[in-house]
This record gives sequence, C-alpha cells and structure tokens, in this order.
Amino acid sequence: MKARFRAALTIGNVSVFLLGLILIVPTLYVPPVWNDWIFRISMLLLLSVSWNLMASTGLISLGHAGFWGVGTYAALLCGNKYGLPLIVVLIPATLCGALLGVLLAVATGRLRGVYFAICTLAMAEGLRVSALMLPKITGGAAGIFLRPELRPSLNVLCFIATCVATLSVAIAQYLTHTPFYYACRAIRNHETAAQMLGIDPRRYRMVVLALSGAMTSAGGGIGAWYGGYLDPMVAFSFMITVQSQIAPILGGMYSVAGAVLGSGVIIALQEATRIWFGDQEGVSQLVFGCILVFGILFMPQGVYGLILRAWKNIDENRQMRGSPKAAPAQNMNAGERK
Amino acid sequence: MTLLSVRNLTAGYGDVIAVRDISFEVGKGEVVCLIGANGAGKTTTMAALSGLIKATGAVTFDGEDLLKIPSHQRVASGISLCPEGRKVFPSLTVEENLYLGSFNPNARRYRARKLDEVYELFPILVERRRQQAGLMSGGEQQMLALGRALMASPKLLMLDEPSMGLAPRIVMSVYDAIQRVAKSDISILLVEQNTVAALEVSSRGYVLAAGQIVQEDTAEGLRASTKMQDAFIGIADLLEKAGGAHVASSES
Repeated sequence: MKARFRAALTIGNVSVFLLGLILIVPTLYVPPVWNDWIFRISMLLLLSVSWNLMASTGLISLGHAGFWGVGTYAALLCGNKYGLPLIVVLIPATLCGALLGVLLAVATGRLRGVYFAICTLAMAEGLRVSALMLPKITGGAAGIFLRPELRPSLNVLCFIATCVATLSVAIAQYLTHTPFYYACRAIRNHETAAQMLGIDPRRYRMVVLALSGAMTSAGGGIGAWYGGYLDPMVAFSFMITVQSQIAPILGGMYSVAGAVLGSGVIIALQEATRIWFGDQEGVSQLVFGCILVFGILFMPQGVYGLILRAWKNIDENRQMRGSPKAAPAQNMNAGERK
Repeated sequence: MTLLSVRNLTAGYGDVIAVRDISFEVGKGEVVCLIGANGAGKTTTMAALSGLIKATGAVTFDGEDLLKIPSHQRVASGISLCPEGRKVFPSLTVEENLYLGSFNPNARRYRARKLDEVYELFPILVERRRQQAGLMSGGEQQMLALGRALMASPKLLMLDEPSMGLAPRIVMSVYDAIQRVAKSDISILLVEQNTVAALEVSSRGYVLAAGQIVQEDTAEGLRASTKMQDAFIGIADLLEKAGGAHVASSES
C-alpha cells in the first residue's frame, strides 16, 4: 500500500513541478503573444482548479464570478489607495475571497445540489449589483482605472500569474493525498453517511469554500492588474463562472489533472479556432462551441478520463499477453496486503 | 452491565412523531434486536441514536449523555451505525470506504489492525479492494458497509436492516458475519424486519409497533409469541389497545 501511495505521489508531484516549469520559465523570455496565452492559461487554471475543489465536495458553484470580482476590487482599490505593488495587494485580495467563502458556507448551511448552486449565483449577482450601487467605493458603472505607474511589465505580470497558478495546482494536488480530500469525497457521495463516520460536513465545507474563494480571488486580483480597468460588469462577468466550469468538465471532473488538462485544451481550442476561422465573423465561435458540445457528449469522463481508459486498455492487453512486465506488478500487489 | 440505556426516547420529523417514549437497553457484549413492521419507527430510533435527527429523552452510552454529543462526535465515543440501504460511498474504492470508517482520531490509531480484521471477516473485500464500491453487488456492498462500521472500533455496533434488498442466500452469509462479530466483545443493536434471521443471532429483543415498544422478551420467548405476529399483521388491533382510534375511523 505504502509503496503504491508513494509512487502515485511522485507522479503527481513531478507533473505539477513540470507544469510549473513549463509555465513559469518562459514568461521571462518569450514575446508578448505567447505571454498572453500563458497568462490566460494561468487564469483559467486558477478558476478551474478552485471550481473543481468545490465540485469534489459536491458543491456545484455558479458563483465564481463573485469570488473573482471581490478579488479584483480588493486588489485594485488597495493598490490605488496605498500605491502598493501587485504582490502585496494579492494578500488582501486572497483574504477577501477566503472570507467571502466562509460567509457563503455559513449562509448556505447544509444546502446541497441545485439549491446551493442557486445561492452561489445569487451571491455573485448580488455582489455585482452592490458594486454598481456603491459608486463612491467602486466607481460604479463608470469604472475605475489602475494607476498606470503601478502596472508592472507584462513579463513580470505573467511571472506572478504563473507562480500563483502553479501554487494553487500544487495545493490541490497536495490535498488529494490527505484525509481532508477523503472526507470531501465522502461528503460528495453521501453527506449523512459521512457524518455518521465522524466527519463534520459544515467544517469541511467552510474550509473548501474558503480555499476555493481564496484561489479565485487571487486570480481576480491578477486579472484586474492585467486589464487595468474595472467596472462591475467586467469584475463580476458571468463569463468567469462559465469558464470556471467548462474547463474541469471538459478535462474530467473531480480530478486535479482533469482541471489542468481542461484549461490547456480550452485555451488551445479558443486560439486555434480564432486563428483558423477568425476571418469569417462568428464562425470561430461556432466551431469552438461545437467542439465543446461534442467533446462533452462523447467524453463524459473528460479528456483525463479518456487518457485513463486508454492507459488501462494498454495495461490489460499487456497482462493478457502475459508479458514479463506485468508479472512483478501483480506480485507487488499481493505483497502489499498483509 | 449496561452499555446503552435508552429512557423515554421520543423522536420524529418536524411535527410528526415517529417513536414515542420508548425505553430499552443493550448490555456489554450483548446482541439485542428491535423488530417491527414497516413504519414502526425502527430506523427513526437508529437515526436518533446516531444524532441524524433531534430527539428527547435520556440516552446514556457508556456513562455519557449521548444526546448532548453532536452526531459527528458520537462515533468517536464508540457508537457506530451501519445504515439502512448500506450507503457506501459509490465513487470511492472499497479500501477508501474502509479508511473513511476509521476517520475519527480515536479509531485512526487502530486502522491497520482493524483493516486486517475486516478483511479476515470478509475475504471478498480483499479481492475487490481497488474496485469502486458502487459497482459491487448488494451483498458485497452490505459487507462493505458492515466492515466500514467496524473500522470505527465501536463498542456498540448498530445495524439497520442488514438483510434489506438481499437474496436469501446472501442474507445468510451476511448474518454469518454478524454472528462472528457478535462473538467478539462488541455489543450489537440490530434493527430488522426479517425476524427469523434477527432472532437467530440475538439474545433479547424488543417489538416495535406504531412507534411504541409493545413487547420485550428473550429471543426464544419472542419466537414463540403470538403478540409479535400481531405486531406485523394486526397493527390496527394494537393501536386500538394503545388508544389510537384513527385507523379504525378511516375505515368507516
């Protein structure tokens, strides 16, 4: 058991490390177009990983725009008022997201499924309307600009974005090996059964929502710095909510790898359809939409599920042929259980 | 020596009271069954004892006032429920399900030993241990649910309808396993509709009808009793005796 556990741990860790390497290192050298792609992948990574964290606990969120928006305003307002750099304002942005998560957990109590989803949607919309109605703080519909002297170069911005995204993937990956994650999955499967085994669902929900909110808000903070302009429609855009779930669903729900793969695939598809079909108005979006629909139709387990199944088939074929490679693996399995 | 003592327990859902003023006890190492027909209040009693619903009365478990402990902490005090309809975690593997059984810190210390015990009790689970629990047969899931409850190192194991939805042959093998658990020093509170199977493993039993205990006896006594048959077939009579006339009035 332990040997297998350790093996799984290194595979996961190595992938996260490689992902970080691939994302972070190029930001300092590559041209702006590439950096734009890398930046968008990073933002999507933050969204999808945090959304997936909630989904793994059985909490389907339709309100990630709320977390995102709170992060954007916290970062931009703090930055503008005190003249702080991005790295520093990420702290209040993250804290605000976590706080909002805790509040949401308290407010929703033990709501589940659709009812919880509606609440998150209401939260995001409520925040958007509030932002619109508090022009003294948020600038209202006219919006606010980031003070230009605070804006770092694109390379630095992307460097920070990729670092934060990698950190969030690493956290999510680390969690999958902890009892915490077991408890979350148990709650998703059967909340009452989990409770009978000594798991307090409310506590876990609170932590998951705080963590997920913090990740998304951090993304929002960086996003605000990248855009340089904010109004409630931009900050609490429903597109954020949509994006945060498309990536994990296409990539494979309930797994970190799925969320990561999904983010990459989505950005690649968006760019590819834009480049190839971009000259005709709307066609690129049509193609992109069709690919999404058929992808989800024919790959209910997502890209990651497809890979896993292919891998399993290869493995089974090898075992059936009785190649020497399969034999020691079986022995090892038998030895694990004592 | 009494492990669990229930005095005047009343519980229900919202305004509907499902069990009223029931009292019973379970001794150390004893196997006691609660039997009764559909809707008699058996599962409600279990839910009240494990804290899933609110209840009033006095429940002492191992010297502690059980009703004061929140439900997620009751398992740590040594009371473990194997729920009706099994409720295994379908998308988790068998072994992960078992690990979750010993989630509370008190039980986590004995996890490795308990896992061996459970695998010894149910060899089928060893074969299935990397399989998703939701893909197993009903009997296997029942064994998993039993194993999961045992992983919590309980002093009292509460089994809610372990025979539910299972083929007679599988029921026998499940009850075989219960018998083996009963031989250890774990007390068992068994809730069943399948009276024959339940009385076989129990030493004492209580008969529940319409939310009240109508009879208490040893297993032999209950097997011979006619009142127990009434509890299943002639609920209207019993209710009339207990003063509830609404069944009779609805007929007219």
